[in-house]
Amino acid sequence: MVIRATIYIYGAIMVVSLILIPIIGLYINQTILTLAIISLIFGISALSWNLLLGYGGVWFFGQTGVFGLSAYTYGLMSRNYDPWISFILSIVISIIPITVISLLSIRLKSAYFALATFAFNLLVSAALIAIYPANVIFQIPRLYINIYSYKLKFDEYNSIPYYILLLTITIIFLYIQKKMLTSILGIRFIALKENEDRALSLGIDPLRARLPFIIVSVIFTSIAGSIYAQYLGSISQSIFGLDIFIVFLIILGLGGIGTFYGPLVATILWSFIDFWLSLFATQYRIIILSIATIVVLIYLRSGIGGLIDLIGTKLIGVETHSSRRKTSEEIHYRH
Amino acid sequence: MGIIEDVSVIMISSLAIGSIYALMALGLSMLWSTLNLINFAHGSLMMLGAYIFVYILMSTNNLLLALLAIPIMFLIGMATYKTVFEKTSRMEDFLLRNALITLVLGAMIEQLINIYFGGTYMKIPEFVSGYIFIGSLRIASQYIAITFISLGLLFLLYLIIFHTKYGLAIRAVGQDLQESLLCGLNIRNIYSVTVGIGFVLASIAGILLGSIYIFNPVSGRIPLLISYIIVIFGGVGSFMGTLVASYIIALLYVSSSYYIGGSWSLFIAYLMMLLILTIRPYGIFGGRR
Repeated sequence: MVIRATIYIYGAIMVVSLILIPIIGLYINQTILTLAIISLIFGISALSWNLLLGYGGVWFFGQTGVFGLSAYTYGLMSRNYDPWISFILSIVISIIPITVISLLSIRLKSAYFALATFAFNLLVSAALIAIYPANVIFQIPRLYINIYSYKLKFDEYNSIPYYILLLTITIIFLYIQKKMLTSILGIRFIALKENEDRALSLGIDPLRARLPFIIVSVIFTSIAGSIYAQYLGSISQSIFGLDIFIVFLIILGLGGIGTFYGPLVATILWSFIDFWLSLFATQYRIIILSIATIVVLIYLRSGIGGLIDLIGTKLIGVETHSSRRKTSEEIHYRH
Repeated sequence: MGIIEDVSVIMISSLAIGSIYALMALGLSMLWSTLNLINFAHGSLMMLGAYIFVYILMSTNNLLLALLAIPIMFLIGMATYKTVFEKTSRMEDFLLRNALITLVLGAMIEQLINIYFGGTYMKIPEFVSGYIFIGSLRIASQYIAITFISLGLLFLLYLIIFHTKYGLAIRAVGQDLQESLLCGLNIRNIYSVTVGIGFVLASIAGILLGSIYIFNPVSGRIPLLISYIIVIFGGVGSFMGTLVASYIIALLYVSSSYYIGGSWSLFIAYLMMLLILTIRPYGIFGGRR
């Protein structure tokens, strides 16, 4: 499998970055750490979107709605409640409406489901602006841990606790994704994408096959959204705009739709390019990144992730056959 | 104001706005049924057309020259097909890829408009000024002019689609690609012209809407959503369905924003879409696709 061939490369990158980035952030340059944290926040969202869009062929376009709803809920709740309680509540609250909408519209064909969930973004923003009309929420408190009598706030030590938290969440997500996709649940899920008519005729229920994945994806997106609000300390209504959606899309498009680690590599690349462009071409950075994404979507079909898979298999020399073919064989075998 | 005045105001403005949305939704519906293209850039294209119109109008002060925006948009559409959608059409997941590309394209166009024209609010000057009085009722003649212009354009579109050979070819490609290939139709040519027509319809809608309301680069987003609600409500690829649905949705939108408030009208339209999607997913007039 492709994953096994390239896992060494990614593993090495992960371990090095785990050790190197906090050291650089603490002693040399704080910008690197900030970029790493921001890129992990968007990376988790893009990865969880990739689980639906890339692996399942579920056209779930409500990602920004969930992200923004979670961020806003945290911002509003943490005024009155403890940060940890509002962190958990923001995740719970933000998954309820999208789950209801998914339940209603999950049996629809791809594009109809896309429109139903895409409209959810606007609906959430309209509702939250009606509830809280002020443009910006300021002074959002951050998480903390009590170690005996010492209260470790997450913004101390240049926010390294956030970096560790986000890295842990990313690894947990990748583990859950791998476990889910290789279980019978995942095979049903992928079968619905590969050949919907056949899968339906085999008795796979779209609701039961897709709902667990939607919920997992939404949970991780809302975690990312909540941490985004905490880390920035203030959020505005522009969080619901198309801009964040486009960021997810750029990361996913560059990384490769349906690749395991692609979005993770692309998000790091994106954050550095975006920062570099913002230094001297602030206005043009969306345009440059959009053109790059369109070019990658047209000419490099599986994105950077696919490219790295290719290089990895060439270097290590493991026989490749795409994970897609394997799963459809497995379906044939198991039924 | 009495109830009769209220109702007639609502009717007149929903007639004007419904005709504009019909133009936009028909463009979307055509792209969806012919190319299988879910165009999320339609709102931005609408604004692009309006901005090109305003730019030519301001620099030359000539209304006829400003109408050059429409052929320009047609050429942009053909060029976009040639450079983007023709390349993706051979991929197996072209549907998703095209949708993502149009999303990115929409954001890119918004940003381009922002850079070259600025993010401030603009308005296209009214084509006709003054008011028409019917009894005690005062109607802006702009609304009536827009209604007639867009009804004329809709009729023209109807003639093109249903009474010319080219329209026949466009419908044939939408219905059965293999058969049309067998008949020797030039698919790429038809596709590029369809994309051009879609872009033109979007830009006309933008110009007409921009002469009623003020607009900025991002104000195409809500019309995009409403016209998708219309397309789903009327059924994809159904001309009459889209036409009827656009007036129904416009009536609903205008009356709900008149009585309840502008921020709730989108909710009601969205709930209507969810209802339609759960009860009859293929629209009121559309067939199963």
